[in-house]
Amino acid sequence: MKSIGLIFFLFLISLLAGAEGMSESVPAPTPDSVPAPATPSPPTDVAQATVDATVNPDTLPAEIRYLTFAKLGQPVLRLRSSSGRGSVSFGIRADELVTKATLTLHFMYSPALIPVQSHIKVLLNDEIFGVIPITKEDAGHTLTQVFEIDPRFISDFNKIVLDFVGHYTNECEDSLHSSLWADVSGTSELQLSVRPVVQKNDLAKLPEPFFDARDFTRVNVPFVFSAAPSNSTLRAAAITASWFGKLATWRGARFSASLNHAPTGHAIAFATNTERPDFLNKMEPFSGPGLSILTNPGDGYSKLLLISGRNGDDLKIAATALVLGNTAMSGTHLSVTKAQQETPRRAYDAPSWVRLDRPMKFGELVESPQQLQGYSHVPDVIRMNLRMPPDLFTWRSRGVPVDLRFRYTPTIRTSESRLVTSLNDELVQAINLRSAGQGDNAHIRLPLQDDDLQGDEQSLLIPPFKLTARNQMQFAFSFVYQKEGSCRDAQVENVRAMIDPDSTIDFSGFPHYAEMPHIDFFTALGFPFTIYADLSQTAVIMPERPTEPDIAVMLTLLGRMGESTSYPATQVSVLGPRDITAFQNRDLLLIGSAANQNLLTQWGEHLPAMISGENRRISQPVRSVSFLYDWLGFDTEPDTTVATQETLRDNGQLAAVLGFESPVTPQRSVVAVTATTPGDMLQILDALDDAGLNKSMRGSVAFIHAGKVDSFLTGNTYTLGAIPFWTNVWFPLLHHPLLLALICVFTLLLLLYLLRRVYKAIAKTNVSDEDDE
Amino acid sequence: MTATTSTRMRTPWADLIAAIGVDVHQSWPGLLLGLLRCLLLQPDVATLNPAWRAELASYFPQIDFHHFRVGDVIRMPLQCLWICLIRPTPVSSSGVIEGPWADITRLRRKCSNALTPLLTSIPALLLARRVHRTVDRDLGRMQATVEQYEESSFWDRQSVRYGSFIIAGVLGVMCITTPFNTLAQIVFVTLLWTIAMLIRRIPGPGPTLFLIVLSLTTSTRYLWWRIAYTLNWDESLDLMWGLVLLAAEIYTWIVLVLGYVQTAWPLKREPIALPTDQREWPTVDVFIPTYNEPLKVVTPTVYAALSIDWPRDKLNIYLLDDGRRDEFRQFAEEVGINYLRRPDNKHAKAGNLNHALGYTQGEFIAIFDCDHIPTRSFLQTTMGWFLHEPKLALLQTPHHFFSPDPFERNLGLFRHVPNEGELFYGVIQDCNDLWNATFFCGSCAVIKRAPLLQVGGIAVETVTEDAHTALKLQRLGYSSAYINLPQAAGLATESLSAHIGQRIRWARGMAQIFRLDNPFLGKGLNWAQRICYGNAMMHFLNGGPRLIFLTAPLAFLLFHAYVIYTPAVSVVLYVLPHMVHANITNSRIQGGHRHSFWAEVYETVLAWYIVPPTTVALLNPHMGKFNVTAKGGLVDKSYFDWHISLPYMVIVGLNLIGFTVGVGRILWGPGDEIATTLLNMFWTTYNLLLLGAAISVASETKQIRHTQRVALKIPAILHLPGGELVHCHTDDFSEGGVALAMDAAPTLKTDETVSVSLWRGAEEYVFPARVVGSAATRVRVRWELTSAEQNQALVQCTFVRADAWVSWSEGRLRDRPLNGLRKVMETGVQGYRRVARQSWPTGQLFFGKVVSGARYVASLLPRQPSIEVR
Repeated sequence: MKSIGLIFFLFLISLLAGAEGMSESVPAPTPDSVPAPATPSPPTDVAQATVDATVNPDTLPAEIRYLTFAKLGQPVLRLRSSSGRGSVSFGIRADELVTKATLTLHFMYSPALIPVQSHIKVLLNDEIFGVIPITKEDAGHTLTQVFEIDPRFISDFNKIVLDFVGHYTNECEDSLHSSLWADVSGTSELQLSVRPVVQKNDLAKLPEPFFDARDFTRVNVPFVFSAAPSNSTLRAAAITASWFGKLATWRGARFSASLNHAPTGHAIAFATNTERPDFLNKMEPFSGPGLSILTNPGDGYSKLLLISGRNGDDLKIAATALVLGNTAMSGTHLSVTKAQQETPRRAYDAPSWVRLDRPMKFGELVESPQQLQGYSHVPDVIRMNLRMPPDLFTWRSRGVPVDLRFRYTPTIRTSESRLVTSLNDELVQAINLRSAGQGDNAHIRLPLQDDDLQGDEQSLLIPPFKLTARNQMQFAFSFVYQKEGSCRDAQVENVRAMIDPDSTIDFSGFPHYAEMPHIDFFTALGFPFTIYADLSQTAVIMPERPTEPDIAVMLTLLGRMGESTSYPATQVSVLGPRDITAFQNRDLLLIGSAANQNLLTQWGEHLPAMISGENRRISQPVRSVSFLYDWLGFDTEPDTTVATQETLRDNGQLAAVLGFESPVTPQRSVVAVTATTPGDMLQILDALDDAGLNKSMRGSVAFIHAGKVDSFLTGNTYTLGAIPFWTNVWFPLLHHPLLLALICVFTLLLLLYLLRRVYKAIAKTNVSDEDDE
Repeated sequence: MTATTSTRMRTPWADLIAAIGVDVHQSWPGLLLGLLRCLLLQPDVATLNPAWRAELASYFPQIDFHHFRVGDVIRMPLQCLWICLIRPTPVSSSGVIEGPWADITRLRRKCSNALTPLLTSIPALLLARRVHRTVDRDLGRMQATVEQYEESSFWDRQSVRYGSFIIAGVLGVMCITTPFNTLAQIVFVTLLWTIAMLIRRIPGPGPTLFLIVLSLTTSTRYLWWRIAYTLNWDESLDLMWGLVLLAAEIYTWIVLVLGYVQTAWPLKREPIALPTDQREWPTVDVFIPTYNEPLKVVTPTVYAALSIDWPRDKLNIYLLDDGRRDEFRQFAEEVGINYLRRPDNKHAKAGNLNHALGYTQGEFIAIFDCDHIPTRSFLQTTMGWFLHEPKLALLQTPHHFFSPDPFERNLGLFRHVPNEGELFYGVIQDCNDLWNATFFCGSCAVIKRAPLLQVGGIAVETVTEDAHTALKLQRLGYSSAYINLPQAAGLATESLSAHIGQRIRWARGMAQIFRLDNPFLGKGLNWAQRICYGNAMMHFLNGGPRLIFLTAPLAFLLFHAYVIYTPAVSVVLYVLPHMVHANITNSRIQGGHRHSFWAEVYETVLAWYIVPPTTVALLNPHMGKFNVTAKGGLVDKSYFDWHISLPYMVIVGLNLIGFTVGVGRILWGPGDEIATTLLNMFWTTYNLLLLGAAISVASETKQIRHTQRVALKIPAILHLPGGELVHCHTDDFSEGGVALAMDAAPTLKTDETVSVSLWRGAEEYVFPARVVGSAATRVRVRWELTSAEQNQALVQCTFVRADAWVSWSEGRLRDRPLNGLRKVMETGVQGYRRVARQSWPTGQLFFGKVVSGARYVASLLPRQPSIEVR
């Protein structure tokens, strides 16, 4: 009874602590408004700005961090068989120091286990620091055990391993017996007391501390600008943001903007001779593009990366130098002497996308061949991510050919051992493994589209492809345990299976063609902007006077594109609504709240939907005249003047993503990110980060409102890319056999008349003429 | 319940039920029970009222209301259902129906009305019905309209014509290549099929052309689809099989296309009159080559040649005896014709003719095989064109056979179904003539000497010297012509083995020409001539493709190779239109001369045997020898030619194994393969029946008579011994005797001597004869001819008549593709029964049981009632 009480108590505590941990408890920092008195910017040379060694570590805000196993990616650890094993990983940033660490495990084990013989070892980085004994009394109850961890054993990347040693009988034990189990709950948590470590200002550490690969949480970097940053400054920021997005990969990145004040935490500042945040006013005028690292005046100990130059062009050069990382950097200041030369990117060559010019080896698609390997009888599913441009026109293709090669330890019983290949959790093909098959291979094709009677109706709203922009191929090996009877079956987990890195998948040969708008293409991969990985064909259009949320949205979206392509947006341009001539031949990313962004009203008639005040208006296509008319395929044009108008209830907070064809250049896309007020635009970022909401954004309009997404396909559609001309001929006829039959009859009649004349003429020359002689 | 029943029942049904003795005013179950009791336990109730019985009998033709049988329990409800669903014929035209059956008719109408919207909701059917009605109404007007448009001067502008060709080409490519999903393809092919069915009814060459172009479109669409979408490049085995099948299909497609080009427009050349002044008529040598035929085969030909209407001084007849027989020399002397023999037999018939060329001087040479009996009008019919057209070097007339070939004899088709050669002489040669590409067929033809000498006489390089000679002549720019009037008749080959031997020779010869003197290459021919000659040669390469088609489904059934890599339903939706349209079109073009699906049988029989010779000839054209077609022999007893049919038995065995495996696949195989398996099994079944028909041919039927009896109706007079004359006409005749038909036959004893008068033009000839037998309206007599003159006169009065063979195909049934298919399938079944009878005589009982069982099951099926609606 006593233990239950204890558990309950601990549970309560953990709940409270967890809730606190969730809110990313930030200790009360120094107020924002404080100018930077602690930052003695050396008047002569920025490069000589050095570490403020006078910061007392004890004054730095300490933090207690609660990491549940669930948060670390392990909802529950299931320890099975006589030597089961489960692990949890976590990282510690370089600028943090763990002063205290406690591990609280909540677990339950099988009542069948024999005490003393059975136990669970707890290891941190291969060092054992605790054992959970198995007792008869506690079996079948939820138990809690707390371990103090010596913080010295905690390094950058850490792994907590639970090693299960389980026995249920002394004779003829089946190591796979179902009674051998112990489950460790996902609510088990690691409690870390962390305090910042003040580091030397050194460019050599970049991208740390702004991005630390050991940190498994979302990257959060504030960007600092002058009170009214120019578009060229924002361009440099955009390039930098996309680089961080690229670095963050799966962690995600969120950027905030601070106009003319220093935020707390590590931040990035942009300054030129004409526009700079007030707290940098004391600095000497910049003589050229440069990168420097300073102490953030916002809190007095964080770092501030200053990207500086005489003007916006210098900033671009500096930012490019930073993101391409070709220059050796060290010290606190670096003057970029000349612009980075980069080879221009070609369309669809984003490094993280599948190659379209040749078959790809699996080895190229994973970071290391180890990821293609599995251990044990039922190994973890081998996963391989495929990012593919969403405009691949795969119609009537039989699928993407995959030449699959795989190896595995010989199976003893073949009947049930197999390799199951899936695509996005949909079964593609299951292959039976052979007993001797050391190296096996199979040709499979990834299905693309259901080419059948149905599936045409909603093809624009729900993509009919099984293969989408972001895909995962899954290979699940399963081997049958060999049981030869009691006492004779020593099971050895020596089974290995591997997909050969030389297996190939071939995406080449598909034309690019897509019917737009497709907001889901944008939300998934930043398409169509990311066609050129350096965004050289993209113009971001900011409002006349961008607000902090506008800039934050812009930077975060650019970060997402960097993540999509794995390449920084070095060639992106940032424009204002007046630079209409520069809009030509570019895909436009239009950012700004309804009131703020003039272009939204200016282009009103092109928009599939409008947000004005508390109303939203959607253009609805008018129903066609008759069934026959529809069936023959004469598309009815949507009538933009007829619209449904909806007044929003609640507080009228509404954000929207709109896709439409560029009014400036045909076949160019505009994606407008807008909201009723600038602050509401941040809802879009939240929705993009939420996997569920992200998926439900599609069509030409997506409204985001109070944590919900409504998507519509309205307005005019347009096409991107070119398909072979014969496909162009076929496509309109596809669903109109009647039309084709009419054409066919017409053709036949025409031929009939022509041929009849020919035949008649020949018959005449053969017979009749001679009769007349 | 009772109330509703009674109101509902106020119909003649109610009266009928009441008449049987069941209370109408009761609930449904009670009513049904009562009816059942009446029908089963007191069946004679129905017989009480004869009027009812008659009506019932008309609705239930298969049920005997006097004697009910157990099967009626099934027959009755099935028939009821059938009557409810199908509109019985004929339907009242007035629409107002009187009498006690009015309500029943209305009820039935209601049923069919309820069903009609279902059927007519398919727009294609609705359209079809409407157009059908329109077409029926004014067929003639439509035809006139078509022609009016065609004559429009709009087409005279060259730019319009070329522009139209380009437009048609582009649109055609579109129609052929546009891919469809299942539903769209169904709509598309249904529409095209409907159009074809409508067009088929309009007479004239225009609609034929339309059907041809339509068929070409669907077939090309099929081929495009096969190449573009149905090859599995992932699996090498499947691909290999698939490519083999595809190659066969491409061959078929090429032959189809070439065939259409060739046969779209028969020229129908009429004979042209000779100048009135006989001095302008040229001299003609008649060559009758012989090698090993008995004299009796040759004599009628010689007599007939002597009877040809041509100035005597300008007609020289030569008997070219390669057999070097004195008997023949003597005969020639007797009848007064020239006799030539040569020291060697080099180059067989061609050599024989060439040898004769050196000894003769006639400007023209008419060539008859020794068993081809020319009519008297032969030269007058043919020679006119030579005088009219100086470049004409060759004129061919059809080969007509008055005896059945093995197909006709063994399958009992003689004179019901056109024989194998008729397509060639009835359609192909006539159409070749349009393109100036008629070729020489070895006999029944006239050749101009000078051009013939120019090409070095009859060709000797290949075993089909005839076609090759014609090809050589045409390469020099000479033209050829064809007159589709049977002006000579002969004997067909008797046995299947001989028939096959002949075809092997032709196939080999054609393959040799294809190699040595390919019509597609070389100088002197225009493209159409190349197509016509090429197609004739390509046709003989059909053995391989045919064998592939016969075995292709086995690739899936036995080896699980997806030969056509696509769902079964797509296959059906693409193959079926291709085949249906090709059949509709070919039936339209060739219907009078080749019934649908018989070509398949002919090809199947020959396939195995012409593959080796054609292959060898294509590889090495100089191998192989000339084999003379044996004729005039006898099949003296019925037998089964196991030797000939062995290869087919093997293929049948393979197909049976495949079929069995298919059944297994359906029962135990994966569910998603059932459709494919069924499709392949269906294909196998078709192949099996085709093979059955081929095997059926190998069952040789006895051929008794030494002389062939020929049906011929000409006036005759029978002279009775008492001097009495009886007017009559011939029924059939042969060299040995004649059958006379009259209103009332006089009483005649057997072996009584009579004489028979026949006419040659206005001349009367009297022939002595002896009675063989007589019936009420028929007398059979045997000739008792004594002199050569009499023999000659008989030939002149019969075989030599100008109109002897013209009305040969009268009374033959029109070709209907489905009928043709049914007939071929029946023949297939019959083939297996024959095999069974031959190999397992005791199994007859078993087969009888099977057949009677099948008949019984068939008797349960509903039948179309023949209702007379007042």
